[in-house]
Amino acid sequence: MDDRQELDPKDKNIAQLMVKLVTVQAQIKLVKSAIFINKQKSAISTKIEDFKQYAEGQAEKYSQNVEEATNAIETYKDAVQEAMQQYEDNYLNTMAEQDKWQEAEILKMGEQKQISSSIKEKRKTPEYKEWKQAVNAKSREIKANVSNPEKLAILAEELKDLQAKDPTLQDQQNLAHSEVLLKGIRDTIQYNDDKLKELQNDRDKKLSDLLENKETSLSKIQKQNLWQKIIAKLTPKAKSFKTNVVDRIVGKANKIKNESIPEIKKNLSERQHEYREKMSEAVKNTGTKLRDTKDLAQKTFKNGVRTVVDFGREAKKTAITTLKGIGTKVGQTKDYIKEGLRTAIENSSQALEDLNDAR
Amino acid sequence: MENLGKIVYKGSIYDLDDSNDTNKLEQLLKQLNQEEADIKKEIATSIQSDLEERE
Repeated sequence: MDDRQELDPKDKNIAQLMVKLVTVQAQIKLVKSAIFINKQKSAISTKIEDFKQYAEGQAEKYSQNVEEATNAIETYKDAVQEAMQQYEDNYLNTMAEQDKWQEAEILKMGEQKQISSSIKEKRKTPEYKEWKQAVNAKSREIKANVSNPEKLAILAEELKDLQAKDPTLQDQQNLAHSEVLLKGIRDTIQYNDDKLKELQNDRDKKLSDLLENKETSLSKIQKQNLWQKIIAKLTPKAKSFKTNVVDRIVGKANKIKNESIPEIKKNLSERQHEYREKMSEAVKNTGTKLRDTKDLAQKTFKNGVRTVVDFGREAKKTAITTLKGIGTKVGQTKDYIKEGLRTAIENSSQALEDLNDAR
Repeated sequence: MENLGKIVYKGSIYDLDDSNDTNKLEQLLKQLNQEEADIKKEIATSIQSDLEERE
């Protein structure tokens, strides 16, 4: 039987909001990824274009074919891209983690809505109304006896006993506990947001270093001291072109491969270790059972951004069922992931349509 | 990496692979962030409304 048909009509509006939320969060992840990737694509392509123009000018100057320099430029481009790939992998991995916490947040909000609805319903019962009348009566009695301290103490005790019999008390305590956990989850989401910003800033800085610093600047390549100029005059043009243009570009590519990339990997790996510890601590503190993303993380690396967005899409259906029993959600989510992209999108779209129709 | 494709938001089409127009995407991101905050607020208001006791 379709889960969606079991949803109580009064919960449909809130389920619809949750579906919208998951959709918007998936779009945010997609746009953030696009901005992250496009910035580096644009910077690298501008720089490579400069290099190409420089190489063409030099090829003309030395009367050489530019092909050898073009190959060197491609090697350089590959090296920069390989270096940037380290940041990209890290960024997407953090986003996959963020996705799990956002899902936990939605489940927690669903849980809270369930509790608040239960409180609202209980307040309509004769049992609650009777209890409320007793509390009001006791409060009036207290007011009437403000000048009698002995009686007041007894009445205060009686009021306390009455309050402990509030039919909604257990729900209110559960709600308060849920709020504490939700705060922890939101703090972790904020932490992941900060990590994503930090990674983007670090990546921007490293990219700028690799593309623009003195070591890689074109002026450095072009500039020759007097001695180099004399040697160049005495050296065959082909050799000069190779030494002054091709070898220098290849040298810079090798420097990135042999020095920058290992340094970036080491730095990111250390930070990843620290990050993992922080996430484990957050799981412990919030009592949150997160979706197992071992396979998901691998998929992220393999397929790139699209997979991250798929997480969000698949979670749409989870949002629909959030209001129908929290305990089974983690298992269900795993099943949804297994269902595959096409089915997940179809299910989520259908779910949204069902909810819209029901309005 | 495969292309990211396009998304449609409030009637406008955004090309996610257009590396020459990140400003447009930054603006879109702002709108989406605001929408996310609004939805969360709406859910919180709905919960709060359940808890308000009516005499």
